[in-house]
Amino acid sequence: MEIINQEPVKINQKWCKGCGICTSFCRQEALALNEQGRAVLARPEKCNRCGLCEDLCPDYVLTVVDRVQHREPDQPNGSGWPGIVAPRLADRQVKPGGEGPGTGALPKSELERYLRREKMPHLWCAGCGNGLVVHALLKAIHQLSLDQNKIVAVAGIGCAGRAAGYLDFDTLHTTHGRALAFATGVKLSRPELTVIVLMGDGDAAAIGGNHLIHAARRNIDLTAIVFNNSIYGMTGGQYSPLTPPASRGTTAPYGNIERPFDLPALVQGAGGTYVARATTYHTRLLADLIKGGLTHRGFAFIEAITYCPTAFGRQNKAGSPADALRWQRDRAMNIQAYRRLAHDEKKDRFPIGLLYCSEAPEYGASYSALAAK
Amino acid sequence: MTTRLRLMQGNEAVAEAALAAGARFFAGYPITPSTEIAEIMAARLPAAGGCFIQMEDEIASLATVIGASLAGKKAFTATSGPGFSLMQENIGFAVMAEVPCVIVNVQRLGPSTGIPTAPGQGDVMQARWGTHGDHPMVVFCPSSVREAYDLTVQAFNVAERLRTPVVVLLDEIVAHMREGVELPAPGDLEIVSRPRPAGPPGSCPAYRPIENEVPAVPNFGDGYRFHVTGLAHDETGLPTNSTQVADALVRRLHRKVELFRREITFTRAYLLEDAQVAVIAYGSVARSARQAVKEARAYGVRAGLLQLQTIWPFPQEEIAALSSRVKKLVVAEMNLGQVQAEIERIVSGRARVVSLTNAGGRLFTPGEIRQAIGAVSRGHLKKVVHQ
Ligand SMILES: Cc1ncc(C[n+]2csc(CCOP(=O)(O)OP(=O)(O)O)c2C)c(N)n1
Ligand code: SF4
Ligand code: SF4
Repeated sequence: MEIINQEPVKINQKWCKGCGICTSFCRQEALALNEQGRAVLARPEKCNRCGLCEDLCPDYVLTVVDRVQHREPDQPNGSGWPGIVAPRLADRQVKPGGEGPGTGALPKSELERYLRREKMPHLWCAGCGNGLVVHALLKAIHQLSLDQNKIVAVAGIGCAGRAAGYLDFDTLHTTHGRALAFATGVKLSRPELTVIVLMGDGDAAAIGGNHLIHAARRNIDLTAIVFNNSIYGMTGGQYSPLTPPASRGTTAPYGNIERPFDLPALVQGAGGTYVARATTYHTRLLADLIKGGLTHRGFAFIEAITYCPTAFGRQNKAGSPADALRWQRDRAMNIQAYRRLAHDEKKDRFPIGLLYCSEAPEYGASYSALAAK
Repeated sequence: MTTRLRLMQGNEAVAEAALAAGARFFAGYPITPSTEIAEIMAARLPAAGGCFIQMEDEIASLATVIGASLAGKKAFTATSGPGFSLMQENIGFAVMAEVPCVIVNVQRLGPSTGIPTAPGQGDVMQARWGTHGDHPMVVFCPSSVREAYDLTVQAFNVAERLRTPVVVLLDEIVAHMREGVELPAPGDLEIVSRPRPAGPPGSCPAYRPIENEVPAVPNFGDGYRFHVTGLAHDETGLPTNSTQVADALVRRLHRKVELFRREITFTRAYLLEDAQVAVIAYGSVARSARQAVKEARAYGVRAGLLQLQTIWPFPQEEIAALSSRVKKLVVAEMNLGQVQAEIERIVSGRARVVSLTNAGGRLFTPGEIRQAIGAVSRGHLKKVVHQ
């Protein structure tokens, strides 16, 4: 039996990579790593069932039994998700810090419904944030009760692109940068399917940048999630169009001299009608925003700020995966609060939340209308 | 009485054939001399219950076609040299992931932008080997408007049956010339659709070959929840790093085309029974060659023509058989000898092969080919003639 039933935390040690996120975030110091570097509940009596470890484990190892509900309830009106979600999210005042982890976990038993278990644990490095993005996606899908048989996940090439292989939907792992174009074909031939596109930052913004702006311009009904880890992870750490200035890449050994894209601004400028950003620390916000994207009729774009401890972290001495999550927590700021900042106060912050939302004709709908004439 | 006789262009015939073969999805990017195909599909698909989209480039065009095919539509794109170059990576994807689709390449003079309005046949080897890695390819090459129609229908049928991309290689002349053609009545066409899974989800891995090495891959949205990738993969479709599994996969991809080789190798023989000199040609050049053969016979030379309608897989049995009977072969093509080199390899000295080449985007006249036939028959011409 691989699940160690150690109340109050169930631990699936086989999937644990010893990244240290859970132990670092557990305020009660209930968790520890054993000699093999796997998580154990060293002091069960100290656990207050807050569930933070469950939310922040990128490898779906931990389940907190009877976790306490705190902060905001997961669904805004408590009774399922309203039909059109985006404007509500925009209206909603999300308190800074209120969108962090702590609520709305997808219980492991439910999460595993959406995973190809035989392929787990996933291939991502210890502490890689990609698992957190996938967790948020599955949470959103679960909460919307979407039909698993009617979802197609289309992914590009790179570490992020490997997400598709773990998802128990129809999944399409395409060529580098082209996921949105493949997804366009899937969506147009079967409009009833929910089509989700998973891309890395190089995938979406460098080699696939043209497809990104054109998918946004057409406002085609896809939900695109960019795993922005600021680097080319799969190929070992070359700089990407999202690498911050002066950060190192293996192809920027003296520091990056290029200016990065502001991806949400790019997508908005290109005509995207739902533009959002969250981090892997803000797990619930990320899931909410994905949920909003999935219910939005048109091109929905969600930038997930994530951390690559291996290809970005090492050469930039950016710290442990837990440090990176704290960095995300401290630097990211809710968009409403961010807008109120003075110009120079914005310097070291970046906005998260629903950044832009509008309505425009959706490509598939326009095509159907034309065909009906 | 209504007649089905119509005056139409090669490009028009391709579009009509695609619709007749069941194509309901087109994604493309404008390029001379193929654009008419996109224009016709844009006009016709909405009413036919299909979908047309003009993509941002040819990379996206083929990607979109592949996505549409995976969701169950018969899908195709049309382009010319520069766009065909951009499609190469995704052609390899369609081979590896076994996605039925058709790519029409109307050849113009290259390399690079070349002369966009001039014909060429310089993409023969690119059509075979343009994408990286070992892969099979099926490529048809029509030389008349009616053949453009028939071979396009075949292209869809073969793509569906073998779950592989098929290229229709026209040249600018065949694409733009108009001929009166009588099209087959829709009911008279044999239309093939891809093999569908026999059992319910979970009963058979998506990529397990069912018959003749071809798997019955489900369509997206049908409840099978399977994975498609260009990575080497096992029968489930999920990626593998096993060199044995990868080797077996690549060999099976070849075998499924190989098993079908006889049925998809089309050639046309003209006056070959008693021929002493044979011309081998394809595409629009075959039209001049046919006339040249006729004229040569009027001069008393026993000439014949082998027209290649299938270029890949290469009609090696047909050419080997020909070279054992006819000792003088003239290969005429609008490139610097791409097919000739292949013929040379198969003939391996059993007959003399004379190559008639032209890289300037100009069609051979029948007279030029007739003169070559005459010179070869008298033993004057030994090797290459550059026109
Ligand atoms: C056409 C092409 N060029 C280059 C590559 C090599 N390659 C694979 S993944 C990758 C970059 C991945 O970076 P990113 O998209 O940011 O995703 P990550 O791995 O960081 O998740 C590159 C350049 C490729 N597979 N295909
Ligand atoms: S966060 Fe998850 S993977 Fe990392 S050490 Fe804890 S249990 Fe293991
Ligand atoms: S290299 Fe980076 S992005 Fe890729 S799996 Fe490792 S940590 Fe994640």
